[in-house]
Amino acid sequence: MVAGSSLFPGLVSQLLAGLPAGRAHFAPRAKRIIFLFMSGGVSHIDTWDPKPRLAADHGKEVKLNHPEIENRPGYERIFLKRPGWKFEKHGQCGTEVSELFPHMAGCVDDIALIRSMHTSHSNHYNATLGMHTGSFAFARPSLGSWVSYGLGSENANMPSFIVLAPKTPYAGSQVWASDFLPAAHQGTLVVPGAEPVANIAPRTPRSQQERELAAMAALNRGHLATRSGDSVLEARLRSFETAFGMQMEVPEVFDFAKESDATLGLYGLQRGQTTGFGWQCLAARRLVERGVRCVELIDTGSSGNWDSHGNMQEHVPLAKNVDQPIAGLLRDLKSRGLLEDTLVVWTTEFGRTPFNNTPDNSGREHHNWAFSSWLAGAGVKPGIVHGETDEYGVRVATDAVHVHDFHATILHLMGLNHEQLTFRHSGRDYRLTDVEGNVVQAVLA
Amino acid sequence: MFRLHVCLLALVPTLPLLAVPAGAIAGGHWAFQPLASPPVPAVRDAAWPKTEPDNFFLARLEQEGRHPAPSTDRRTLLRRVTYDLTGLPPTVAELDAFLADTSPGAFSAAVERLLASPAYGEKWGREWLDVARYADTAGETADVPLPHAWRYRNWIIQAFNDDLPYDEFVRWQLAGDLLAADGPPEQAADKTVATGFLAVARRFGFNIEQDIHLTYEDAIDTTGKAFMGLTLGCARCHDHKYDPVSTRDYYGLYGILQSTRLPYSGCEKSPRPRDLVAIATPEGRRLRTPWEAEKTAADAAVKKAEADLAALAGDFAASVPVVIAQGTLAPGAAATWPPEEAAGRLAVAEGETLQLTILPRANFGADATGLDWTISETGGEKRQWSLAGGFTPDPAHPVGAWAVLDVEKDPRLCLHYDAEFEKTPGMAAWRGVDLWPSLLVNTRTEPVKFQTLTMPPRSAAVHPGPRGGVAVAWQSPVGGAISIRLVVSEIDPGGDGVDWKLERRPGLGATLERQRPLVLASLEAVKKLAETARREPAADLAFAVAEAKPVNARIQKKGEPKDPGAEVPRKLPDLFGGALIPDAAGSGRRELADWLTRGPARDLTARVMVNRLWQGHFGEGLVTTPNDFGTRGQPPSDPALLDFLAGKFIASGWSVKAMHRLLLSSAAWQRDSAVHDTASAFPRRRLTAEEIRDTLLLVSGTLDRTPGQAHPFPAETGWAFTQHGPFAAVYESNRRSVYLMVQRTRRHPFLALFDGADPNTSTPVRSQSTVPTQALYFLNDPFVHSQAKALAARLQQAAPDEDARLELATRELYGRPATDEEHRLMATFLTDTAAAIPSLTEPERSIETRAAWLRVLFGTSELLYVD
Repeated sequence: MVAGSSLFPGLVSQLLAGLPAGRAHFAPRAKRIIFLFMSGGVSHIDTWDPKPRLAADHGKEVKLNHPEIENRPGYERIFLKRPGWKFEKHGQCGTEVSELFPHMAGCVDDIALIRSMHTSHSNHYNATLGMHTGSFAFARPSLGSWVSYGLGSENANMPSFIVLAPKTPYAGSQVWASDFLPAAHQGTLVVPGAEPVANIAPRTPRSQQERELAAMAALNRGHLATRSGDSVLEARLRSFETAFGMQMEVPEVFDFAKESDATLGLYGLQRGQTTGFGWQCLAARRLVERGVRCVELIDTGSSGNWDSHGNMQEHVPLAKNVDQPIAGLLRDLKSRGLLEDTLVVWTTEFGRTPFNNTPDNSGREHHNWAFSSWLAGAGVKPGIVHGETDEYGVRVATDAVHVHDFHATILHLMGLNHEQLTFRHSGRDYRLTDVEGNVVQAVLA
Repeated sequence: MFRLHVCLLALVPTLPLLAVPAGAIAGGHWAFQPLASPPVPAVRDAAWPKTEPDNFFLARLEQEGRHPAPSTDRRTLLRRVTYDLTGLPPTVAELDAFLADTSPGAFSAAVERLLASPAYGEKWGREWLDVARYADTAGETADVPLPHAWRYRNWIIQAFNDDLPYDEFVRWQLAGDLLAADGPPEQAADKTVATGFLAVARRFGFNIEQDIHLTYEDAIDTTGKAFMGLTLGCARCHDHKYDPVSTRDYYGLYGILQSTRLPYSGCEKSPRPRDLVAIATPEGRRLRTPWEAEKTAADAAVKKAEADLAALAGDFAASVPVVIAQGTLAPGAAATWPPEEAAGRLAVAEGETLQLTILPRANFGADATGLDWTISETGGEKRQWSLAGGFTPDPAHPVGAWAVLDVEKDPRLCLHYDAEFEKTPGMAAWRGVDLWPSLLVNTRTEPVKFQTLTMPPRSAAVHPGPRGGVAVAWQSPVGGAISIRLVVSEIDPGGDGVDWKLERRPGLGATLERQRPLVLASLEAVKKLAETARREPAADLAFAVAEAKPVNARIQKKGEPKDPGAEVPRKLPDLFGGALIPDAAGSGRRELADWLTRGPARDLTARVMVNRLWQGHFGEGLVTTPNDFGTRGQPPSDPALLDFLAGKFIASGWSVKAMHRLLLSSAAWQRDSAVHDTASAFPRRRLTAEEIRDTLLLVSGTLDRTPGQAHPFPAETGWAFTQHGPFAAVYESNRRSVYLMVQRTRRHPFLALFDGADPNTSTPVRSQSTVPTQALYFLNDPFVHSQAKALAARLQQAAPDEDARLELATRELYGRPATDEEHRLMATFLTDTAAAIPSLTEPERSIETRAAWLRVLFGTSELLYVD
């Protein structure tokens, strides 16, 4: 740890240069957020949103002016297609979940499930960008960047916003970009593997690096001495101290050697395993333990994901990849008391169509009219279901929650008023929720 | 659908459409006023100012009870000016020469040297590329490459190096393709390339044509920010809440974009790029010149052959035809001649010619006409000539006694045996240059289906051409009596019938024999011309715009293109007088460009640019929101100075280099950066991302100073990029960083780390973040380590001992000699480091230890900041 380093006597690291101190608008319920993003569009009617009438009316022709079938050859007629998996009630609350998520189903008493989500675009790129930035076309700061900007960091040795993703998602690095917010708030990408953070591995032996840092600090102090009062130069000296600390602390975060077999088992991890969503979930717990403000986990990339046009059975391995690790994360956070001040968000960019051009088509198309997401942890009313879709899961029937409302609610839980969290850029005050967004009061504890 | 801005509906009074004099803009906001001609203020410390701007600068400080910091030392000055103008540090030789030159003109000579260096355009071109949101990919869901956009990037660099007057710089970027016609011709390519400013607007979505309204928005918004310092994009959905820009104004500009053809970048929906503009670049001209000479020669050969053929006109005229028989053939009908055998008997002289002509009626298509024509010698050897049997599919000996003639004008032999027809087994065909008129022969003894025809066994058919008839001529090899049997039949279903005519043509045969070599020569010349045309060197392409059909836009309610409102004429914003684009004017880009530089917006255009130049040298603009001179932007810290500079700028003929000279020679710019109490110090700045990388490359001796050109993108023909598998690459190079490939949906990792420009939107100011991941870069990045090693190896040769090497490195990196303290620090460092790597032998050990020391220097603030 840096505090014990002999390299920087007298310098106590306080915070990352450029980060404002925490300045919540009101008492936050959540100090940290773990954002679980399932890439490609998870079918709501096969996972979180049971539709018995859809099963009963399988094969019935419907007429809909749907964005994914408009002017699409072969889609002149569309027919209802029954859910592919059985639903059962779970927990005290009795929330129904399909057999695709047997582990998460065991956590429903801790979850506020929203079955009435909807979004503004039916294209992966735009919907993914929208779910992350509130903008469906243009590059804008990411949710994590806004949270980092709004609340600052709790740990000077770690970035305040970390994204763990094995592959690049739709819309690329725009998903975690700080855009016009200061660069300190951009997501730091961690790719499971040998060097999870760029340049984190020392290229010289520690003693040599200490020698170099000591010489550099001496030269920099000499430089600063004749330029006293330049806070930027001072911050730069500290940034080397932080970087030195990160070299130790970041690998330590990703070293699970001291985790018990029981804990590893919760996440479905084998000892020594350094990839997989279980690895990402346990890393997320370890990151929030160390005060990282926002951790996002993306399960796959822009291909090989939940985009099951051709065959809904592709959902099976993808569900298996995330189900136990997410349930394990919730249980682990809860048992450590971390769930009380950590918000966990599960979402995807849109749902999938309850219909297709033939009832026997084995896939489902993009569906932005309705999908399911959930919140759990700090400030969230546990064991509830909010909103519902119509009898077939085509449209939201009650308590619609748009992505902007979802964002407003997340910011609210973090102690931030989405209308007051603004940044002046190009002559206007920008916010995550643009000109929209209402906090969903019903999911607040 | 896409709600872009927090622009709430506000009522903005519509300003009267006035003819406004140049520079004058209606409205009360400071930025829209004509330039004032402020007097140069008097100052108490009259000895301090070196230039007129200094008087403004000092007067303001004196008002505030402050005073400027003293002049900085000459070393600092040279390092500062070299970075400011070229983005690179001064070399040791440049520094020594400057310090040795104690003449009063030494500094201005250094400024001139730097302004004349190609590195100047690479530094300042990058500044403009920030503003112009330049990128090498389109930014739609697959982020496809823009393989030709680099020409715009390089043109920007060249324009700065050439000191292209800024008003022309603006006009070319908006309307260069239209201005190209004004000449001179050697500027045409550059003017076209300059419209890359509009062309590189970001593309959106899966189908970029469906989301083109967002691309227009990008082009309008960037035009507003870059040239006018106005956030016009706000008016897409509503009247601008704060500035006098209405939705009507926005769609007035939108129509100008809609009347402009943007190049199609390719996207997921349809990957092939199109509508790029061919230009004649110098290298393109080098390739084309020899080809054009060949093409000219081939053209001339065709013309000569035609002239030779035309010379036979008199001979043809002399061969007056005598009609034997004629008739009309209804569609699908057949005619036999003679009606009785006796009528078909006639006497011919040897060499005399009989000609059967088929003439199309209203339409020539589907007029294939079967000809069963047999001529029999009634006496002598009783020889017989059959048309179908007389032709062989042997191009060398085509026609025997028979000839096929194009009779559109004078008869012309059809001597081109077209082997393509052989793809249908049994078919043979002769034609001229064109596909029709032609003769088709089935050489087989069974029927052959050919296109819509069924050719009977051993049969012949002719097809007339689009402009006239076709004829078959028989040149008699004998003198004496012959008998003729002729069956003419319409065999092409769907034709409209033909006329036929059988004639005697005395003397025609001899003329055709004279024509034969000329026709062959003509065919050869046409073939050569076609072959030459096929070898035309590929034109250089620019990702540039062209005119499209002029249209007016309809207002899109709340920015939603599916909800169109009233049509708005193409026009300049009311703010600038609101003049309409004349009906005859085309898109209106030329008018827009003129309004910005010669019309009502001229003074604003000048203010916006001098502010950028001031910002480039003083760290912060007089207006600190350089893309927003509207009411939501910051007012100028010194309005009089801003107007004074803008006036100077226009008066200098919009010379950017003249403005550099003025600002750099000021006492204000030459202040020291150290802070002393109330003194106003020069603002220290961090090197930009590009300057950091270029500096390391330069000092290590690995910088490739040649200009970058096209990126090594995959060939367009293989593109299949999607949002599932978008284009993604990082191309390594040792060229200056302005030439790095910049992608829209994936930031270049190095440029993103050190606050490079946002390639998605105009970047008016680079932020200067200080984050630990930058420190990690200096500690561990392979590039830093390799450059340190390269410099260490270079120093091994460049100086005799370690102290001298340190001295050299310090002078190259910091622009000053090393201190005694630094010598001591280094000596200890090298000893300790060498002790830690005992296994290495010399000179590797020295190079390794020196490289470690150089990494220390690379990481220091003194290198990274300019005082």
